[in-house]
Amino acid sequence: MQMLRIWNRALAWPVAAGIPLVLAVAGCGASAPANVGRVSGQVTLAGQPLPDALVTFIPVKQGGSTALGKTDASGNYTLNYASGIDGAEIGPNRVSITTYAPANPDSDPPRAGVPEKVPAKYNLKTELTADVKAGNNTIDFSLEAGPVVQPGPEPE
Amino acid sequence: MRRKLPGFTLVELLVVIAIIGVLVALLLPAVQAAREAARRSSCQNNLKQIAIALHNYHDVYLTFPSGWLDNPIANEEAWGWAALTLPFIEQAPLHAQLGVTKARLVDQLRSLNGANGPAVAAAARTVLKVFICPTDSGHQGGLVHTNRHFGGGIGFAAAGFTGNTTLVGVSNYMGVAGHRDLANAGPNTGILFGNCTGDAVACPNNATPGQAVRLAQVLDGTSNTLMVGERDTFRCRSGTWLGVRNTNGSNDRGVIVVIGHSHPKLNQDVKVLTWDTDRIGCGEGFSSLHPGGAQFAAVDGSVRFLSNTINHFWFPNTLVNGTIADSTNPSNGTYQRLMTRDDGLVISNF
Repeated sequence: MQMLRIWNRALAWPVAAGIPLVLAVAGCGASAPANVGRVSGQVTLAGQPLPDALVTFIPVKQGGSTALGKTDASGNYTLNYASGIDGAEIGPNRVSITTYAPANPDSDPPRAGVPEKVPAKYNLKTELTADVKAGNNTIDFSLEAGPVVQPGPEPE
Repeated sequence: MRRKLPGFTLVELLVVIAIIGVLVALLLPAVQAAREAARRSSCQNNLKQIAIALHNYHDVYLTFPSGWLDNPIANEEAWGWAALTLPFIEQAPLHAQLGVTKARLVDQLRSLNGANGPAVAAAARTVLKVFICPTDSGHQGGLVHTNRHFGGGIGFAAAGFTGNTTLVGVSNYMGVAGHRDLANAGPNTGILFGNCTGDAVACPNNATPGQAVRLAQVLDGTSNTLMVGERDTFRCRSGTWLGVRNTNGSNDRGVIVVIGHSHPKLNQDVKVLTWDTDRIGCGEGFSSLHPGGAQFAAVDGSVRFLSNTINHFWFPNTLVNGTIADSTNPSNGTYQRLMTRDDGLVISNF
């Protein structure tokens, strides 16, 4: 009995205290890689929110990964680096913003094409850049109206 | 005088219960993870079998199968690479029953060679375990149907199957067609590709048409080039072992039910881009429900697990400075380099 009492005092409380610690460690999820900063923001075209636009961040640095996001009805986007990881490569990025989508009669259901609404200086000949920093970034794009170029058919 | 009672205190009991609780809490997810690990092994084994079958095909025909057998008429069904490979996965009777390479798929279904269209359509629904990854939960007991598959196909309609009744056997394993997205348009930079334009009559019946690839054409090395990868049905609509509906239809999108290309991110998040987002949705690329990545068979027959965070760099098609995504562009990511057999670019660790 005396031995048990010693065991009680010596071990039981550290064990009991360790339980929440173990659970806390086990509960940790996957975290974003160190080279990724979270990026979100709003895209406006001539002052109006731009919905359904594809925002692409293309890292200037070799060996970086492209990040993609799509704007919602109010023009807000959040970039996605890889499945389940939001963000973009830290450092300077070229940015392309486009609404163009080709018609796809083989889709389910078949889809009509969506014309380009964004001027070419923001996609085909993009001048947009963004600097992504570690942590959370809010990067808004206020696009001006300008000459729009519809992408032609795919080159053969 | 105190009598010694055998027993334990309440605190001791609570500690024991707590310890058991922690162990169970740790073990339960581990049991589930063990199940997924088993499914992944089975999935990996399927890829290995398919890779061996493709090599056996190469031994016989001196080339890998064409990704699909081209057909210049829209909505006419055509055989895919997996159907061509059937004799090498011990499915020779099914191969014979379907009449693969004896006649075009659309003609078999239309019963031009006898009134056996419904029988061919029924055989097309054979569930082949080697083409099903056990982790995938999206298909209907081994069958799939969507417009991207065979709804609206001329042959199936002639055989009495239209719209959503056109079910075919699922395949979670897609051929790697290389860097270009419009599979029919560009040069074949991958392994399983089609395009027999100019030989429209011979091509659909020929087992080794135009752009089929020989091992000697895998210039980047067989260990540095991927051949077959996974796509799940749950999020990304996978495909079928049978073939394609629309090789030369508008935009050539029909072929993505047997092949995938390198532009969509591995496991493209469907919360960001829907599976059918043109060129970069996961319905044209590779995906799996395994946590963290997907498995691929390389041309050397080895099966690799690629992580979602693999370096992925691609020029948005026709977007940046009008530059078409070029398979030899030195900016291409590791994922893109692995999917092209002749880019000549160095592949670092992945």
